[in-house]
Parts: sequence; C-alpha cells; structure tokens
Amino acid sequence: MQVTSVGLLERMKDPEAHGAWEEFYQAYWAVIVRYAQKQGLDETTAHDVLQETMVALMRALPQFRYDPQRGKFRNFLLTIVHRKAMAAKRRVGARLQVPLDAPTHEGGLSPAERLADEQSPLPSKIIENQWLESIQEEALRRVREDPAIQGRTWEVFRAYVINQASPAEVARQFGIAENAVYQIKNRMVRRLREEVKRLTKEAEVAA
Amino acid sequence: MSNEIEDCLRREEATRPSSTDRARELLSRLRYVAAVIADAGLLADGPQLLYRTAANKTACVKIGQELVVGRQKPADLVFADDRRLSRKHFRICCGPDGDRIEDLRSHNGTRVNEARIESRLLCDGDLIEAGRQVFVFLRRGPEDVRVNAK
Repeated sequence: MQVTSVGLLERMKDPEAHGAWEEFYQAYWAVIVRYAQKQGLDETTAHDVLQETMVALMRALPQFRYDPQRGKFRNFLLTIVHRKAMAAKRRVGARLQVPLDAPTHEGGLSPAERLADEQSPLPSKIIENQWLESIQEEALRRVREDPAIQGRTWEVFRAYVINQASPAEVARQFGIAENAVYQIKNRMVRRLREEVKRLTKEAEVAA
Repeated sequence: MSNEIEDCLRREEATRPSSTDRARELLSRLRYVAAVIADAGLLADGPQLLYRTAANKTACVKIGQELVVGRQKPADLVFADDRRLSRKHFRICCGPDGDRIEDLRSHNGTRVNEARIESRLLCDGDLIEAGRQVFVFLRRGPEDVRVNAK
C-alpha cells in the first residue's frame, strides 16, 4: 500500500488527476465503510457514505487551502465522513419515521441531536476514537491477509496473544521453540503498529 | 496488549465489508463522476444533473423542487432525438426529507447505479441511466464542508 504524501494530496486537488484520488480511495475505502457502520448504518448505506464522501472530496479539494489554524487534512476528511454518515442516518431515520426526540442505542443521541451534530465544526473525541478504531481494524485485516505472512504465523499469534495460551502450550501445539512464539508475537505487533501508523499518516499530512 | 488486539479483532469482524466487489463497482462509477465534475468546472449549490451532450460537452441543469426528464414537452429537460426515452421518463423531487427519483412508467425503465428502480432516494454522485442518456446527480447538502478557499 502506498503512503500518501503531500504530493498525493496536492495531486488530488487537480480535478484532472484521477490517479490521485483513486490511490486515496484504494487506501481508505474500507476505513470509511467501517466508520459508517460504527454509526449504526448497514453496509449498503455505509457504501453510500463512501460514495458521497468521495464526491464531496472531488468537489472540495480543488479549492482546499491548508490553514494551520483549522487543523490537519485528517480533520477535514473526518468532518466530511462524519457529516455524510449523520446525513445518511437521518435519511434512514426519516424512512423509518423515528420520533425526532427518540433516543437511539448508539451513543444515546436523538435524531435532533444528530442533526445538530451533522453541522458541528470539528469531530469530537468520541468520533476521533471511532475513526482510529476503524483504522486499527483495517490494519488488522491487512496484516492478516498479507500474503507475506504465513497462515501458520497468524495462527501462532492468535493462539498466544488472542486466545492467551501459554508460550509453552503454543510451542508444543505448533512444534516450535518457545522463543519463536515470542519472536512471532513481537514481529506481528510491530507489523500491526506499522500498518496503523501508515494508515494514520495518510490523512495527517496537510495539503 | 492482548486484550486490545482481541478487542480489535472482534470489532474487525463486525465491521469488515462482506465483499470488495461493491467497492470496485463504486470505483468504476466514480471514475465517470470525476471526469464529468472535472469537465463541469465550478459547480453551484443545490441539487443538479450533469450530463454529456451530443457534442460531448458537459451540461448542468439545476433541479429546483422538481424536474421531469423525457423525450417531449411538457418534460422540463427534453432529449427529442433519444428514441429510447419515453415522453415523460423520470422525475426527481427535492425536499427536506431527501431527493427522490421516480420512474414515470417509462417503456425502457430507469436505472440508478445500474439497478432498475421505480422510486428511490438519491445520493450525491448517483448515476442515472434513462434511454441513451447518463446523468450524474449532485447535491451539496447542509452537511457538506465548506472549504477555506482563499
């Protein structure tokens, strides 16, 4: 996966540079879909949010000028994604005719509160945490599906870190030395951190 | 650390997109949308339809509250040479609860993002196909971020 640089964001501002936003799309589509699903949307509606976010970026980026006082590109992106998700949620709510003051199970926000939230200037801490979670989840999937990582390596990692078996037990189960179990764990955790950092960095860069 | 990863794994499975096909289809539609937006230049606010004319120029029509597309008047947007269009083919109505497209019992049908529809709410960037025409539906809603253009 490519790391977005200032160059990519600059190229995305050029409406003719289709390759630039396609690179961005490839890097971020799943993160945006995951974030939208965290807001309580189904997968189909989450893809609508993805579509609307990309179209909003196509329209907005040619005029985008970085202003340090307004924060990073990530804030700009997350504001778009969040508002699109809230607008989609409102549309779904309107179809279901939910009373405007009815509380919801996601975060306890009523539709009226969500409407106000749609136009909030910048994402709150909760929203930022949900975005970070979406990035972590996508990073985990990428590591798990990385063809360079053997299925057995993942299974050792799963047995030791996720299922919390003892190193001796895992070593016995997979026929490897205990020291190899520690090495696999360290390697996988390092790889996960790198992937999270890469994905986070993509949108940290100021345009 | 293990709890954190275990938690992340559980969440990952809950939010994992079930397939990459939909994302690929969307990407191919977005390529067309991007090209049309690039040709159109600066766009106005509010709901609008963008389409390629016979001369391969990009045209833009504002929708207002309602727009009917067809082959003959009294349709608002008329493509007289398109024999695959019905006289009144589809209608878009824009309101506070969303922007809705409705097929007006056309002979050849109306498709949104390749799916045949009778009526549905539109999203920003949807592709509408009717007759030989392809339209991009755009709307800049209240939730859209205004950029800090200088």
